[in-house]
Amino acid sequence: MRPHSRASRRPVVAGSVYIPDVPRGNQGRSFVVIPENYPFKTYPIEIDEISVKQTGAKRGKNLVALGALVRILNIPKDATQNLAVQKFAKKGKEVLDANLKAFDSGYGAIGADFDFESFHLEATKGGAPDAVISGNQAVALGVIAAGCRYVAGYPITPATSVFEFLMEYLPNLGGTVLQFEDEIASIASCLGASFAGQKVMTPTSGPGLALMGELINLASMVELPLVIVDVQRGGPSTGLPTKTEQSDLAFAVYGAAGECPRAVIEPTTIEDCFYQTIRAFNIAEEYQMPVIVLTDQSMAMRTKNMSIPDFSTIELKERAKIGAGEAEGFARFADTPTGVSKTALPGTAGAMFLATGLEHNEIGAPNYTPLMHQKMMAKRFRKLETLAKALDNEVDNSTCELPAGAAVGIISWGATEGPIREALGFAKKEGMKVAHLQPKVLWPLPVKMIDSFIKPLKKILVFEENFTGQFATLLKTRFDIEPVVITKCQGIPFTAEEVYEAIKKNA
Amino acid sequence: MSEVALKAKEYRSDVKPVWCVGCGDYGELSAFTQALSNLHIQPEKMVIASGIGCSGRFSHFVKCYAFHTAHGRALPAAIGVKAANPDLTVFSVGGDGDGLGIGGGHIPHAARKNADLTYIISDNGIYGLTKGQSSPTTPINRVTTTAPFGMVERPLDPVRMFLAYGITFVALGFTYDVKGLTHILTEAIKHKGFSIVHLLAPCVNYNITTADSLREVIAPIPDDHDRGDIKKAFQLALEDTKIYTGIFYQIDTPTLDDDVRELQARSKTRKPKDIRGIFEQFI
Repeated sequence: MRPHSRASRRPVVAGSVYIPDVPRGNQGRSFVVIPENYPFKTYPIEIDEISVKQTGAKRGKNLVALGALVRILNIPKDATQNLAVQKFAKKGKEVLDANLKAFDSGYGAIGADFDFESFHLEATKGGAPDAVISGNQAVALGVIAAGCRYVAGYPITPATSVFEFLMEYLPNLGGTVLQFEDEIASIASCLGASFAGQKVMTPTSGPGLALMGELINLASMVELPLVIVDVQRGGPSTGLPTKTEQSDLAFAVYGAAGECPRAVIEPTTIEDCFYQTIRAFNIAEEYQMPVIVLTDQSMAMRTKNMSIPDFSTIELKERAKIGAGEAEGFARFADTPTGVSKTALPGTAGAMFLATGLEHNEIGAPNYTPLMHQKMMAKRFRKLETLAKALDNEVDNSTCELPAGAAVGIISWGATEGPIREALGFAKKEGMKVAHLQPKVLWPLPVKMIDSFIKPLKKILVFEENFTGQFATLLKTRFDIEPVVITKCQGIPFTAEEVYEAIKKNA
Repeated sequence: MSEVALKAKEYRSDVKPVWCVGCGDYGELSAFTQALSNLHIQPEKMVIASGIGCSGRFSHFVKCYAFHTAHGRALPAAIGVKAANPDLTVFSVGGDGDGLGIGGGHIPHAARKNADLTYIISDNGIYGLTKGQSSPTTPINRVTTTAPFGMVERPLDPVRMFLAYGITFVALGFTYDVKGLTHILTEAIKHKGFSIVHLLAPCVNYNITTADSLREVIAPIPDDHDRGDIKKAFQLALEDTKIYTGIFYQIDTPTLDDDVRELQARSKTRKPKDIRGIFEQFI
C-alpha cells in the first residue's frame, strides 16, 4: 500500500492482517501507525511488481490482490476465476490471459506459512443467489415494490441514482417518472398525483428537502399521502455534496411553517432501505400524511448483497376511501377517534370536496374560527398518536440487543448501525456487556420501545454523524436522560474502532 | 363528456364567492361554468388546482374536486393530477402574482411538458387580496403600497412570453366580455395539450386600469387570423395601439400523456416487467 492511500491512514482492527504492497523482508516501509495493543500480523506482497511482470502494467494489480484474497479467505478458486473470465472475455484473449495470470500469481503469492485458521469465509448455504445492490437501488426497489407508480424529482447528489433507477425501470411497469424544473414543482406535482389517487414519491437531498418545506406543510394540512426520500449529505448550504452526514433529522421532524404532523423513518442497513421504504408508503397511505425517509450518502453509494425478498409476504396498504352509499353527506376531514378520515378520489360521483391549505372544517370549507383550528389541529396530530400506538405492536421496527446485566447502552439511528454492531462484536470479545437500540421509525418517537430499553441502563451513548447531536436532543425532550453524545462531523462515517474506543471509555 | 347536460349554474358549489362587488372574477366564473356546460363536463371528472390570492379562491366556488394549493404551485400540482389520471379534465387557476411572480418559473417548463390541461391566469395587475402591493404586471409609474413613489420596474407582457415558451394554445380574454371569454374557454378546454388563457381582470379596488379604459383599446383578433402561424401570433401580440383578445396561437403536438405512453412502449422490450425481474438484473 502507498502512504497516500486512504486505507493506510485507517487504524488497524484488532486481529487484522496488514498486507503492504512491498517486497518481503522490507517491512520497515510500512507507513501505518499501529497502536501497540492491537495484535496484528504483517504479510507483505509485491503487488505492483507481480502485476508489471505478468501483465506488463500496474493496472493488473487488482487481479493480483484478488488472487491473494481468494487464497487467504479460502474462496473456491475456480468460481472466482470464472467470474474474471466473464468480465474480461469480451476484451479479447490477450487481456483475459494477462489478467488470469495476474490472478494466479496473486493466489500463489500467499505461502503455506500464512495463518489460514484465522481467516476464512463461510460459503453461503446455496439456494437462490443474492442481488448485489446499493442503498439507493434498495430504496428505488422499495418504491416499486410498494406499488408507487408516480415519481417526480429534480436531480441532486447523492439522491440522483434513486431517480435514475426509477426513470429506467418504472415505465415498463406502467409508471410515470417526470423530471421537473426544481424540487418545489416536483413535490407539488406529487401532491397533485396523490390527490388523483396515486402512490407518489420524490427523491432528494438536504437542500431539496429545505425547498420542499412549504409543500410538506400542504401535504400535512390537506392530508395527502406522500413519500419523500432524503439521501442526506454534508450541509449546511451546498456543503459537502458527495460526503455523508446525518444532519436533516431536525428539519425532517419539525421543519414547517406552523406545526404539521409527519412521520420520519431512517433505514439502518442497505437491505433495510428496501423494507423501510415500503413501510414509508404504508404509513403515508394509512395515515394520509407525508413520510420522510432519511438515508445518507454512505449507505446510498455502498453496495451489499441482499436476498431476493419473498414478495408474497410484503403487506401493502392503501388509504381508506368511501364505499358505495357513503358519498351522501361525505365529510372528507371527519374528526374521528383515530384522526384518520376516509377520502374520495376524483371520478367518484357525488363526493366532490375542497382540499385547501387554509384551515378548514370537517367538510373542507375554509374556517378559521378559534375552536375549529384547535379541533382540526388535534384531529391531524391524533394520527401521530394512533401511529405511535400501532408501531408499539410491530416487531420489526428496531434493531435491539439487550444483554442481561448490561448497564451501558447505545441508542443511535440510521447507518451508524454497521460500525456500532462491529464495535459491539469487539466489546463482546473483551467481555463487555453493552445494550444497543437502533429504531427505524424516529418520528413519532417510539416512546414505549425506548422507555423499556433505557429502564435497566445506567448510561446511554448516542452516536451521530452530525455536529449538534440532533437525535440526542430529540431524546432529551421526551426522556429524562442525559446521554453521552458522540458526534462525528467529517463527511465520513464512524469506523467500528471509533465506536469501540468510545464504548471502552464509557463502559 | 357525458350526455347529461348540466346548466352553468349547476356547476357552482355551495360556497359563495368572497370577491368584491364588480370584480372581474365573477365574469370569469360565469364564462367558465358556461363553457363546462357547453362541453357536458361531469363535475366529478374535473379537478381545479388553484393558487393563492383572490383568483386562487376560484376553486372553492365550482362543483368539482378542488385542490387549493400553495402560493405559485397550482400549475405543477395540476400537471401531477393529469399525469396521475389522464381521464380527468384538469384546470389550474390563479392570478398574476401567483402565476407570473412566485410561480412564474413553472410556466416555461409546463410548456415543455404540454400536459393536457387549461391554465387560467386572472390578471388584475395588483396583489388585491392583501390590499394593493405591486405585481409583475403592475403598470409603470403606478402607485401601490410597495411602490409609494410609483412603480419603476417594467411590467411583463404575458402573451409574448407564452408564445415564446411554445405553449400550444395561447389566448387573451377580457373578464367583462363573458360571451367572448366563454368561447375562448370552450376552445381551450377542447384543445389537446397545454392551453393558457390570460385574462384582463381589472381590480375594482386597487387598480386604476378600469374596465372602461380597457374597452377603448381592446379589439377582437380578426376572424381570418391563422392560429397555426406563430409569426402572425407574435405580430398581433406586438401591436402597440391595440390589445387583441381571442386565440393567438394553437398547434397540435404530442401531450405529456402521449409522451409517457411512448416511453412506456420504448421500455417494453428492454426492461423487466415486474419487481422480481428487476431484482434479478442485479444478481
